[in-house]
Amino acid sequence: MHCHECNGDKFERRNVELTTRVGEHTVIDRSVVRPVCAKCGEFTVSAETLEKVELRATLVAFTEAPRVTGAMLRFARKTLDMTQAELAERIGTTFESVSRWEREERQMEPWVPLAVLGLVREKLMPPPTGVELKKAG
Amino acid sequence: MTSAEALREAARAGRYRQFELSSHALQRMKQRNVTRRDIGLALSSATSAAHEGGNKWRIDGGTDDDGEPLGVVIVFTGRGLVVTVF
Ligand SMILES: [Zn+2]
Repeated sequence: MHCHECNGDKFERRNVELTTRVGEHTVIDRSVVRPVCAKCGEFTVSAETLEKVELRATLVAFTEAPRVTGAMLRFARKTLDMTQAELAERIGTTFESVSRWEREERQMEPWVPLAVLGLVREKLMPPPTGVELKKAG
Repeated sequence: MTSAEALREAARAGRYRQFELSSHALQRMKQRNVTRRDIGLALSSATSAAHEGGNKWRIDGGTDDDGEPLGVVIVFTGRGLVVTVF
């Protein structure tokens, strides 16, 4: 493995600090361990890891911020990798509503952040394996 | 690698969200409110690739989630495509 910046070949595995902006908030994640170039300090993060970092940031921001703003909703939708229409379909609304909420042209009803948070949690924590759903009877 | 091949590889990496981001790119993403999705869309919708020497290419013509133009610089490495700056 060679560093894409300086072509160095010595790396040290350590925790890196990743800062994510979720609307008006900043979330710092120190849980990711990456090989860091010993010569120039450069490291990379895969899109797969970044997805988890973005989802965790959304979870923290939605849970801890005093209110969920349009910019936060927009970040959450992008983190879920959905268009406005796709998110609308998942939470049972129209893309016009999602668009207005994101632009703060309309206030979000209290269920909206909860529904989005549900989708974020689902992506971070997939259903357990070895557990089967059957129709009762 | 020809520019058509570079563009095709970039589009594939973007579509399947299979790329890496340099620490510099991550810094810029935070500043400009750009997410993994935006980079993926920009790569998959790009229309031109210009060689910048070595394994480095400038990928342009793509747009982000907002439909805004988003060009990126990528490096092809042994472990895949690294987005370095934009
Ligand atoms: Zn280096």
